[in-house]
Amino acid sequence: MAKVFPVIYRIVLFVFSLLSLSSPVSADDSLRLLRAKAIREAAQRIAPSIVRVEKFGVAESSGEVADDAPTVAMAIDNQNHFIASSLVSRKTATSLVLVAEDGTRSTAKVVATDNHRQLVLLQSSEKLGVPAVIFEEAESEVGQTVVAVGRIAGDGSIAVSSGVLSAKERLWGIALQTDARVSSVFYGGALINLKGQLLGVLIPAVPDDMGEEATAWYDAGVAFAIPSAAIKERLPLLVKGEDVNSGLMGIVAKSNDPYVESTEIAAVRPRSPAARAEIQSGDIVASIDGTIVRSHREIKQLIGSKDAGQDLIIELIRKDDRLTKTVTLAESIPPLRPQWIGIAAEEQNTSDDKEAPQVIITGIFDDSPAGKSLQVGDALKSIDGTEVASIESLRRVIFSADADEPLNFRVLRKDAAGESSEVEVPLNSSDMASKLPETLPTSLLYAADRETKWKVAELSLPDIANKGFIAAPELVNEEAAGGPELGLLLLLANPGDADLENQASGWLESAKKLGVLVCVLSPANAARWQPDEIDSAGRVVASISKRYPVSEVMTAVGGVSVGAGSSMAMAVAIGRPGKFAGLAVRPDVTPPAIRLRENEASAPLQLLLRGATNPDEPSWAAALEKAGYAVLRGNDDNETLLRWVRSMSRI
Amino acid sequence: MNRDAKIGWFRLAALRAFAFTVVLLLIGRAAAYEADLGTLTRKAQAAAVKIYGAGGAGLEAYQSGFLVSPDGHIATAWSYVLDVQPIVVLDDGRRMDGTIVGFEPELELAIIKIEASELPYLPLSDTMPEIAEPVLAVSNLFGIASGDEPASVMQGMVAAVTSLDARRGTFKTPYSGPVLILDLVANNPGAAGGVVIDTQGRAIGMLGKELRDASAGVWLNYALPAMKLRPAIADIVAGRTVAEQSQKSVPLPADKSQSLSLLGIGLVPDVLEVTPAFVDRVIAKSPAASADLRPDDLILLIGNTRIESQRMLVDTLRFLDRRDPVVLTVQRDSRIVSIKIQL
Repeated sequence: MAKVFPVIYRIVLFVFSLLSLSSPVSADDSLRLLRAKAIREAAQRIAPSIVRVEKFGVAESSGEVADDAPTVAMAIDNQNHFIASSLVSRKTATSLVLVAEDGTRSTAKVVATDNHRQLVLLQSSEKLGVPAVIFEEAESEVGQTVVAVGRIAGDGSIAVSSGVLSAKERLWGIALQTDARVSSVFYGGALINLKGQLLGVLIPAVPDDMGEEATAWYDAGVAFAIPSAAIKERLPLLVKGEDVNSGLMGIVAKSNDPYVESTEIAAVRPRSPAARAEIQSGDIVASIDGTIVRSHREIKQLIGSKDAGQDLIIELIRKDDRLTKTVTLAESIPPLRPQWIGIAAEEQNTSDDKEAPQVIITGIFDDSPAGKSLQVGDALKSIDGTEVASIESLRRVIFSADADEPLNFRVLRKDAAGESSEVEVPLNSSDMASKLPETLPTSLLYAADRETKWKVAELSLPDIANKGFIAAPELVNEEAAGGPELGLLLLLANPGDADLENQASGWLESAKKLGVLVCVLSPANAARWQPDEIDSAGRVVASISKRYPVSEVMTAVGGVSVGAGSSMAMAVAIGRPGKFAGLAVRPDVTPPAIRLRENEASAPLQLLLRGATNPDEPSWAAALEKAGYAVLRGNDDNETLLRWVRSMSRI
Repeated sequence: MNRDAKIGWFRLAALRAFAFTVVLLLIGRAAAYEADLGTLTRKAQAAAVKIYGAGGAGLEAYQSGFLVSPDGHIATAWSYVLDVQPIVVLDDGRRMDGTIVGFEPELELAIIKIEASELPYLPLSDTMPEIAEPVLAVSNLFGIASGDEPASVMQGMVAAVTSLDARRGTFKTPYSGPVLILDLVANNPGAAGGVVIDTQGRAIGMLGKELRDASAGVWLNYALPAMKLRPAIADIVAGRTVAEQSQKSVPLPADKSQSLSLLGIGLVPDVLEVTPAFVDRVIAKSPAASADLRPDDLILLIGNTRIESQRMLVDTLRFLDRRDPVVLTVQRDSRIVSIKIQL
């Protein structure tokens, strides 16, 4: 019996020798084919669960990817439930139909939506006999091979795309990222590993602050999938018909740069979960759910994966105490109602260099809440016990204050004899939108040397094709101008507008009078403004700010007249928060098709409707107010507009 | 010698040899994998050509092609570039005048002939590839290569094997027919006419012109399967035929085609840009009535054609012969019902 062994080994040896000698090895043996086989088998394992989604009767769609683009869905149980991308319900369809691999069709309805993860749960009206996907613990390591699986519309053949797992916890903690080429026939489909295990469900997505259509990045090498574990956890809710939404807390960061190493809270939004948990302005966030945080970006990342209704445990440092609070996140926070008290202020260094600069009131607006109780020269020490450390943080506290709750100011005030004493001043803020200041306090008036010549000059912008003319003080030897701070109004011309120079000249006199640079900018293309020019406007502002002392809070954008320029101005101001503090358009402008995001207390935007008198018009103004924007109405003359630009620095 | 010891020695030696061979095999395989790709790439590049012709007004005046015979037959995409006599630049940099010797409009294929012989060429595969099959795509996309510079190579795989068919709503494109959807961003300016090869160096497809799927709005990455190109190429190379404009489907004359009034169907008023095909009334005793079509039914499909609007329904009926039955898929409340109407 034992003699058999060597014979077997000899045979094995012989076979292997043959294999190793046949050089080059036959193509069938190549690693590429083995990999292909693995991909094919993995895809075929999950494919039976994937059905196609057809949408019928969708009115004309916007965006590059059609709103009734064919997508897919996956069976998740034997109760006719399917998970799909929320693209299927983005536009109302007359009919949603699911098509199984064998061509069987059934209508379907939306049971619930996970708005946070852009998924919907569908239920077919009839059994499709499709096996449910298995939600199992699956290996997922960044760098591993992954396969996207979908189905082609029409004949329903399987479609695959392979790539690597590029990252986890993208889109503020909710998504896997892959470089597989994912387009509409994959949305709602599976992202699997080479064992065929489900890692996630593919969705069309673009990060929030990019302001683009969710489908804009199809086939781009950046695709996202919602991890299967997160879906599994929420399926019981969705099956019950309950929608899932992202969770909001309601704290306002002290700095508008989320990367700054500070977790101090500048303000707490009224009636928000943070307010209910008695979090206060001035608190410093030490940790969230046990994870230590060092910046507001880290805080946002940790809150990002939480849904409304979920709790998080937040550890705070308040003066010398450490507090732990449980916050139940909410689906929505009562919208911001931007507030003001009616002061102009500046930071002054104290005689003792070691101390923080003082915030001194330099002007008070007529008929404003501060009018009677605060005085020019007052140094603001604290509000409700929290120190006023800078103008920036003061602005935020006031901006997101609650008009019904008095603010307790402590101010250092000099009396007639020059003696300083601290006084308590209680004060209620009021809605910024309720009043467009008709006059400016003296400290905000432009008091440049009357000898300074203003003229209209052509802007040189080396890296963009747009043309611009600016009404501005004459530059001596092209050197950057000094002097008092200036406002800036960027007016976008309509495509085809001729003679920008003349348009800019029309603004010269009032620009000089009020100290606001006025720049008229043309589109790069004579036919239309293009979406990618949204960023050009920001570049123009940056380039102007290099040459003139422009105040960030006095920077506004608008259109020269009603038309494409004004619509573009809205897209620029709303689509890129933080670039402009003000937006001026006429009420009959056509609003652009962009996502309306909530106004942020950390990078606020206010609107001036030029020549609007009827408070009910335009119809879209209500939506903006609801999203927390201060909407002001004023006359349509140049001086009103430029005075408003200067008044934007008011607090 | 002790028999057991002898066996022991054999076993040890066999094991050693076995382990050694496995190591060799692995090294050999990895090396061969690289060599394979390199050889394949060079082989495909050697047969790829750059084609220059008509262009202008935002259209590129160049595309790609590949040799399908040693005697200078070149397969390429049938496009505006060939509106003038094309100039062909071979992999070795030779520049030659090309003559269009035939085309097959349905496959958007053209064959160019150059006067040369003993050229490297690629055999055409006679089978359809499977999904996930690894491929290399070789083309002169964006016109990057010129003169004797080798054409550009991209690596990827077959994403799907399907068929473009506007009338069935697969992909709404001007081209309809079989395609390989590719998992690589292949179809860019100048890539049309490029070759897709498999791991054995056979041409399995030709990159098509840039194509946007009108139903989804997305750009497609696709190739026309060599298996479908083969017969046409063989015919043209053999000089058997020069294909004529083939029978594209055209609407039938009004007295031969189907129509709503003939079937006895009245739709809701067509007031929107895309009005869903809701049945408003069914004429009593009409063919539709006998087939039990009912008011409020929503017509989803005719045969396999997706009906997105009333306009599309009317158009689709004009292609159907009235002697044939009309098979409708309709939605009645939440049910899907199949209805066959025979005149």
